[in-house]
This record gives sequence, C-alpha cells and structure tokens, in this order.
Amino acid sequence: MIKKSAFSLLLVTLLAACASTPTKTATKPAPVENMTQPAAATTGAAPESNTQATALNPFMDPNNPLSKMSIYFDTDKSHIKSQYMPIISAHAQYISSHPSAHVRLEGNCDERGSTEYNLALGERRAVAVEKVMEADGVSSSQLETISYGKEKPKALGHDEAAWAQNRRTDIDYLSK
Amino acid sequence: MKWARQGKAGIRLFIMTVMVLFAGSAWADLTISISGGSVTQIPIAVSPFANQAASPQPFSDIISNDLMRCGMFRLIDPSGVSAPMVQPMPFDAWHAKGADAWAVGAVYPQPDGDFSVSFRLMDVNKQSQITGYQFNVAPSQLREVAHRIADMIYESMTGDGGAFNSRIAFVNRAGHYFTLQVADSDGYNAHVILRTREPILSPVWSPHGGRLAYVSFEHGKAVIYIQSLVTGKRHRLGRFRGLSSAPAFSPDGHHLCIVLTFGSASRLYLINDDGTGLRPLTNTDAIDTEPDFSPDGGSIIFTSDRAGSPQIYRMPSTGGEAVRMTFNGKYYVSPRFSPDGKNIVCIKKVNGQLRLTQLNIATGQEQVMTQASLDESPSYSPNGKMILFANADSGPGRLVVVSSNGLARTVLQAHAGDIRDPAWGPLLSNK
Repeated sequence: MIKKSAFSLLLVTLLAACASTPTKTATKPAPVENMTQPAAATTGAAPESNTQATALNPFMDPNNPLSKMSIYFDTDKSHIKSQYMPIISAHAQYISSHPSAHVRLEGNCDERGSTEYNLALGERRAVAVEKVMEADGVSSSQLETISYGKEKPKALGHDEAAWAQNRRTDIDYLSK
Repeated sequence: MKWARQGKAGIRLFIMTVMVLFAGSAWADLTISISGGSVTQIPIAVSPFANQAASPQPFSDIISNDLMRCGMFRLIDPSGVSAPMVQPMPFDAWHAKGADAWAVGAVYPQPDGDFSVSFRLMDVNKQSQITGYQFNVAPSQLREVAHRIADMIYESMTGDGGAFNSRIAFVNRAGHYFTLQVADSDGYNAHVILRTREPILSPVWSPHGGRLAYVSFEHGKAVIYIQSLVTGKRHRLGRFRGLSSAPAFSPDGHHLCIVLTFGSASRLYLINDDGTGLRPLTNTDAIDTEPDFSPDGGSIIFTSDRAGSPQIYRMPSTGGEAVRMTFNGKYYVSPRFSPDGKNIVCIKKVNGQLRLTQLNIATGQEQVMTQASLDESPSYSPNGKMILFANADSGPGRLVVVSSNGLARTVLQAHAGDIRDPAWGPLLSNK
C-alpha cells in the first residue's frame, strides 16, 4: 500500500509538472481510498489500464453503490433489509445493461448452528437477492446462486462483530 | 480372529510369572471425564494387563476409558493391589477399595508374530469369575480386542449390548486442508478417507458400516459422494442443478434421503444409492433439511422452518404429511433417532446457546444435556447409551461423548485442527 501511495503521489507530481502532456503510465491519476470491502477479487483489483485519467471504475468508486458487493442479513434471517435495496438495484441495472455480465450470488452464514441448516439458509440468502434482481428485470440466464453455508467465513472471530460480517450474500461478477 | 472361551469349569492355568506393571496412562491426559456420583454406577477396577507396557497397546487404559465414557461405571483406582490371573486373588483388597467387579488380564507375543490376549472378569463379592476370554490376534487388531473386552465387561455387568467396538467418522480442518477421517469410538486410530482443499460436510454411515456418504465442495458447490471404506472407490450421487446435501441412508442401505435445491428452496428427496429413482418427499418453500430414517425405516425426522423457525418434524418415509414434534423452543436442528426408536437427540437453542438435547418421542419430555454454547452434529452410539457430538466453545471444534444417562462427559483425544460433523457408525463385526 505504501508503494502504491508513493507512486500515485509521484504521478500526481508528474501530472502537475507536465500539465499539457498526458501521461501514458497506466495507473490511477489520484490516490485511491483504502478498500475494506470483502474478497471480491473477481471484480478486478487491477485497474482498467487504458481508461482516461478521469473515468474511475464504478466498482472501485466508494461513492458508487456498485462498489458494495455484499448484502448483510440478521441472524437466522434471509429477508433483504431496506438499506440494501438500492445496492441490489444498482447491480441489477448494470447487469441488465451489460449482456456479457454474469453474476454468481454466494450465500453465507455465521458459524453458529448446524452445517446443513446453514447451507440451506445460505442458499436462501442467495436466492433472496436473485429474486430482487429478477424483479428488477435481470435475466435469470445472467445469474446463478450458490451456498457456502458457514464453510467460508470472511471474519474469523467468535463474536457478534465477526458473525455479522459472515451473514451475507456476495455479488460475484464472473464476467462483466 | 481366533478366540476360545474359558468357562468356569475349564480354566486354563497360566504357569508363568505374572508381572504386575502399573504403567501410568499411556497418553497425556487429553480425555476429561466428569462422572456423577450416582449409586447406579457399578464400581469396577481394571488392573493393568500383565506385560501390557511391552505390548503395542495399553489395554487397561483403553478398557477403563471405555467403561468410564459410558457413564455406567465408577472406575476404582487399581494401584496398590496385585493382579494375578489365577488364585489366590486379592478379593479382600478389592472389596476394601469398594469394587464390585474386577478385570485382570495378560498379553503376550507369540512366536508367529501374533499376540495372545486373555482376561478374566471377577465378581469381588462372590469371589468367582463372571466371564473370561482368550484371543490370538495380529498386532493391528490389538486395539479392537481391547474394545471387545470392554464390550464383554459392559454386557456382563449391565445386560445390555456394548458399543465400544465401533467406529466414528468426522471432518478435520487443519490449515488449508479438509480431511474426512474414520477412527475408533474413542477417537484414536484415525485414518484419513479423503483429503481436499475444499470443505467436506455431513458424513453418514451406511447401515453395515461399509460405506460413507458425505458432502464435498471439491467441484465448487455442495455435491454428495458415496464412498466404500472397503475399496476406497466412490461415486457422485446424481448431477443436479443447485446444491445436494444432507444425505441419510435408509436402514436397508439401498436408498437415501437427501436435500436438493435446484437453485430454489431446500427440499427432501428419496434417491437410490446408484443415483437413479429420484422422488420428491416435501414441497414447501421453507427450508427442509437434515433427514434421518427411523430404525424400522417407516418414518423420517427432519428439520424444517415452515412454521417460521427451525423445528423437528416427522413424516412417513414414503412421503405424506409431516407432523411437528418440538414445541418448547424457537430453534431445534440436527435430529437423530436413537437405535431403539424411542428418543431423538438434537440441538436446541436455549437462551441463545446451542445445546445438546434429548427428546422422548412418546412423552415429549426434553432433557438438555449440556451447558455449552456451541454444540452441534449429535449422533447416538449403536446401543443408544452414548451420544457423540462436536463442541466449539473454546474455538476449534472438539469431539465430545456424553452418556445418555447424563453422568459422564468426555472430550475425545484432541486432534490438531478444527473437528466438525462427527457421526457414530455401527458395531464392527465380531466375527
């Protein structure tokens, strides 16, 4: 991270120095906020190398709902809380307008309770998001669901803070 | 395995010097046993077997731990009393220690590489033999012989069949790997059946113990495999859209009840063990999962949240209306029938804590068995007298056995790693 910031700083300095000459270096033109979002590696940690300096990848823009890749749930519940509807809608809109986009919805649970009930609950959490997207007009051919139950926790603690992070459906773009 | 019974009338005299060795526990005390002081427990002493320190297995420790784990016995410390296989025997000393029964034995290597193991179970008060056996076995079978002796002692003293000569299966997660393992009923002698980098879940035994069905994520999603423990070969059970999980064998072993989602709700299905003959059993939009057949095969119990939260239901195994069985709480999961079909063991959420609970089917009476927070995956021993489950209260999962009478609780030998989803298998053949 330090290297990245230093390089970005250098780049900003170069840009300032050569205002009329666009740089050909393929990096972001401004330092990027420290990302703490979950392991959505498939969204592409590598920035789009050939974009113009001002067009930020919406999936990396913290102000854009598309950068939110996880929907969180209450204990033992699979209903979508209202605060997450705009996020799902944003993704639904993107998917609908990008026929090449294919998304896997991955349902997860916290570590408590039976392996199998959690596998089923994770599936229901994935399907809950899928249903909202389909109601928003997304074609089912662009969506698939999977459950990991409690087998792939993001947070490894044994307290509510960790459990809350694990009760989620991840929106995983297999292709954009 | 060859054995010959030594009846009361024809006792072979062992003309040898019996060396009494009081070797301590052969392993660090990783088993923690809390025995109640109930008067219904039989006080018994098990002397170290003659020559056991020089043999591959600590016989008296294996037998003592088996007897302690079932909650029916109170083990008397054998130290300080001699342990001859023949008269004169120190019955007065055992009586003074409070023992009603006393087991004494010997193990000796044979010229052909086998071992001769013999034991006698004595009635301290009558000062006579209750039972006695002699075995000639290969070194690899010595542990099994110890469990068989424990079963013989158990049967002689209680009148019920023993369950120590059986195996358990469980999943161990250590580092990046998941392993499916099979071990003796005391957790020792574990063998790896499968090793993958993706989760393994829900192993269950076929009725005769020759196969395991389990769920694997090695293809990315939950898929059921059936694997032979004899040949090591396995096949995938069907190819279905969505997840496949929660397998349960029918008592005849020819078909299973499983959970399929087809990308939608979790429902129960019947399927032949070769993957043919799929038939739906439930069709609600709720979660239906964790099926288990009754011992007579006539019904299936399962977990369903069709009433709003997970409860236990029972339905005919041919399909039909499901009847709710639990009414005393908001969350019941993981039901398993006892071998006599009269009880169910499950996990109940009590004040937010997940606790092992028994339910009497006829009376509806419940017995919460622990004061833990994270109990899971219970199953009965083949004689219904013990319950195996996993507990994660201290972080990584540990295997625990409680006696059905609630008097003994034992943490099994600690394996490194996080142990989940244990399942108790059937009795091993005694032939």
